[in-house]
Amino acid sequence: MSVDEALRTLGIERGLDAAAVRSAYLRQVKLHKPESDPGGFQRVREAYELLRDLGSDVSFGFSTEVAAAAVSEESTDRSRTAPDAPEPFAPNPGVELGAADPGEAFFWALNAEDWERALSLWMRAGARADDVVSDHEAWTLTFSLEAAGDADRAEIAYALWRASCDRKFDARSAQAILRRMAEEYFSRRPYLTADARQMIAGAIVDQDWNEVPSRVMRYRATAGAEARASMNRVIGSSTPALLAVLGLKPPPPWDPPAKPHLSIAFASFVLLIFLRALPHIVGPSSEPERPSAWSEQHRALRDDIERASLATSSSGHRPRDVGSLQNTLPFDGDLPLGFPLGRLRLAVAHESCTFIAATLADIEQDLDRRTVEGARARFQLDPFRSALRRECP
Amino acid sequence: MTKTGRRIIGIDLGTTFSLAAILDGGAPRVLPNSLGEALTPSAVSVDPSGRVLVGEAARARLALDPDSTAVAFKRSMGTADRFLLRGRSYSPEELSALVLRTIREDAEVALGGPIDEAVVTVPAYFGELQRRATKDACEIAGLHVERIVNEPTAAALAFGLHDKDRELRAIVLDLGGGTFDVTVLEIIQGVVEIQATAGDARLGGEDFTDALRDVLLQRFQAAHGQAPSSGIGVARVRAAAESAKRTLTSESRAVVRLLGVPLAGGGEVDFDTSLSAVDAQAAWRALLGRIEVPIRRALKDAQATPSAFDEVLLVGGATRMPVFRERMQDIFGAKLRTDLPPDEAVALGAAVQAALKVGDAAVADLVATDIAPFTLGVETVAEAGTTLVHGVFLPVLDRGTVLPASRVRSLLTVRAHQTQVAVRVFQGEHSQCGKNQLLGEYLVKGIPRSPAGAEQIDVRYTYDLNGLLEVESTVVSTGQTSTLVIERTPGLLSRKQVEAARAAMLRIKFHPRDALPNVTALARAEELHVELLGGERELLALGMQRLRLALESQDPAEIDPARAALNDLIGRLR
Repeated sequence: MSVDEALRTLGIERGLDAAAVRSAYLRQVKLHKPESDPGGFQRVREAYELLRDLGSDVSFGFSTEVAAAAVSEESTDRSRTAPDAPEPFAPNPGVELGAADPGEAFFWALNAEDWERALSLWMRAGARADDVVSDHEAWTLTFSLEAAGDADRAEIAYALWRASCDRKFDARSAQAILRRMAEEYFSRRPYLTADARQMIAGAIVDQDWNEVPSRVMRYRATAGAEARASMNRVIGSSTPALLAVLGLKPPPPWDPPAKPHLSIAFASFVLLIFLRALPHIVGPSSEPERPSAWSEQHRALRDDIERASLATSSSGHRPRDVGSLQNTLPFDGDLPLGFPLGRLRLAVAHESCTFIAATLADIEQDLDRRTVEGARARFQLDPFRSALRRECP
Repeated sequence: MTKTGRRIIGIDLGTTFSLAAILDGGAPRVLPNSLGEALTPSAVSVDPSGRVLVGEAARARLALDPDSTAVAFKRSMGTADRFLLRGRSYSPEELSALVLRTIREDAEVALGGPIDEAVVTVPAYFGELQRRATKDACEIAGLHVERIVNEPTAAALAFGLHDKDRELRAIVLDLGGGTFDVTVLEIIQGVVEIQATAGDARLGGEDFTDALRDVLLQRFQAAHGQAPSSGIGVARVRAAAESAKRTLTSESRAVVRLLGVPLAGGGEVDFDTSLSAVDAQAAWRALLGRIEVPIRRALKDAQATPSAFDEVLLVGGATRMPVFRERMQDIFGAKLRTDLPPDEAVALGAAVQAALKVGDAAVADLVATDIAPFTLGVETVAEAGTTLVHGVFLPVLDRGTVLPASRVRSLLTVRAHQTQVAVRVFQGEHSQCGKNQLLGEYLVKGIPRSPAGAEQIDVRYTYDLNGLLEVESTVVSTGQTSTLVIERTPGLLSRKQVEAARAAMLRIKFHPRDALPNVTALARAEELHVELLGGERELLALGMQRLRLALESQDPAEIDPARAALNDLIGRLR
């Protein structure tokens, strides 16, 4: 349900304060009793909860009373103006309340990747945000929430963005706007290949928001520059601590490698040590961030992306047909207990021949040839091994 | 009476007492039972002739014949517990059905017409299984359940009908015989909105009695060097504890005198002691501590502080205890409200809900919204690095969600070529499924073979106003849907079993309803007879003899005065 739908359901105008929204809800409940009209009641309740939650966050520094007063003063005039006219709002209320410039607060939140806060700031601003939130920022926020797996907030962001588009443009140019969104998005991500762009743009134009992040995930793995940058980041930040744990000397400074496959080997090595040592270096107190489920998911996803970027440095090493690799993966049930099938699956998903081969070799090395279990696992891996030889010449 | 001419009664099926009420002329009133009393004890007893007794007559037999009398079976609803009474085993549903059947017959006499529909109350903290068990009990008793209402919601409705033009935020504290419920609500513009609910399904007046019984048993042991006999002896001590608890609601000291209590090792002994309010408070300290736990949780869920409430509504007989009232006064300040009889408020509210159901004009502008008392979710597998963690609870419908409600969560396949998914439905607040309650499970089959994570299954939970759950899952790529029917859970009756129980009920021999006042008078007299000595005992025996002779003559002109005389005697000797 979008904000506009919610407003229509409760039969109210934008910009009312919490008490007015509640009173409208109570009026509608009388008309749609849970007893006699359960469906109608559920819609009314959903609308109320959406609007109530929009109004519950006061971090933006706007006063709801100010906004409500501004609306009620002009509400009679507005009903006569064109429906597409921008919403009226109180002139610069942020200054009156001594709060920071709302646009700047939004921008900083976005910059800090604090999507939750950015969204709440935007929600509080409502129509007034049209001037300060650019289409690109709207799109970034929507996409980031979606990519972080926060479908609920992403939907709110999308609703806000659509509402803002509706106010600024007529519906016919919506497709054009979406295309422009896509172009703007790509201009900031030069590492995406041409066919990746085409696929993602298709998803954007179809407004298939579930598909967009998964396509980006897939094509991001083919990037070169981004991979090197994030590799440097990971090595730079974690290597000293890691080596200290392992009792080794610090490595020489990292230079861009002359031969790509050497860099991959080194990256895999560092990644391997890093993953193995992770339980030792990440203690319960080493992450001071808020432990909300949302940021957990976000972090896990970011790590995945970084690992994927790390795994590849050139697009020449992609398997010809990833599907046939996936299809030859053995079944969990056929493998001995504790076999790291997840690692192998992860490697395949990253679509890097070298990474897959290194992972497979690493796993096979751990299998004990002398036991029945080990032999069985090797036998089960046979189809996958030959498929890998076929797809990655 | 109403637009549709339907008559639905409201029933409070309590741990200790049950009663029925109906909305009559704009106000709810309680329907009296065959003894002319409002409360019917939730007790079932089988007498030596194999006939079933329900209500006061059964309760009075508890001290004399504890092995063939069942009480407090509401606490076992939805479990596989059985009660053995004179060689026949009864499920808690069947025993509840016997009580409901009695209530129904009494209501039919009071209203002069057949009744086959009812609104029944359950503690808000009753889970899915207990609600279904309650519904089954009603079906066995031949009553169609129009609605299951949470007890505090019902109480709020009774108060709300009173106060529908006021605006107030209130907290209902419902301390019944066996359960404690806390409900935060707001009444505004005729809408009774439940905002949070919490409770303890195993904390009630009976536990306070048990605590006093334990004190008395300890003193008995200290005074006589051995314990009373496990059957009748303990039952009599408990009855004394119950009456001491009642005495302590109005006085500071309760005297306990038991004559000829049978000992475990044979022989009889008199037991004489007294309990002061201070003794009782010491015995109840742990229980009073437990009362605060759900209060704190309800306040947290509603984001309220104790000072936020305009009124504190007290419901349930056990809220009469002064220690309880004092503690609540300390927490909430002096705003306790008791203008509805605490024993009757729930049934009165159920009658209001019944009136809402039939569309009675008297309640046309009253609306009540209720919430889900538990979080409902599904078992999932989480990927932690490269290993799979099983049994992770994924909430689908959070507690506090306003009902009716429908929520969807999307799940993905974990393995490549996975063709089936086990949907396991849990209720509870713990992050691990093992610590929550399994409600039911089923297999979704026929998922197309795809890579891991490529197939999406949408699981939809629909929670209706009765607090009953329906689960539906859809395989997104094929559109194939399947619905969970919660049937195979232990302790829950299947459709067939309900029918069988209903048929069995018809074969049970009851005391004829018009004979019940006589049977009850005799049972009460027997109960008292044990406690008396000398002249008083002989006097009572004479009164009982007279009634028995009158009953043999089968002449109402002799029976009625004999019964009246005996009841009068009981009243004076007690």
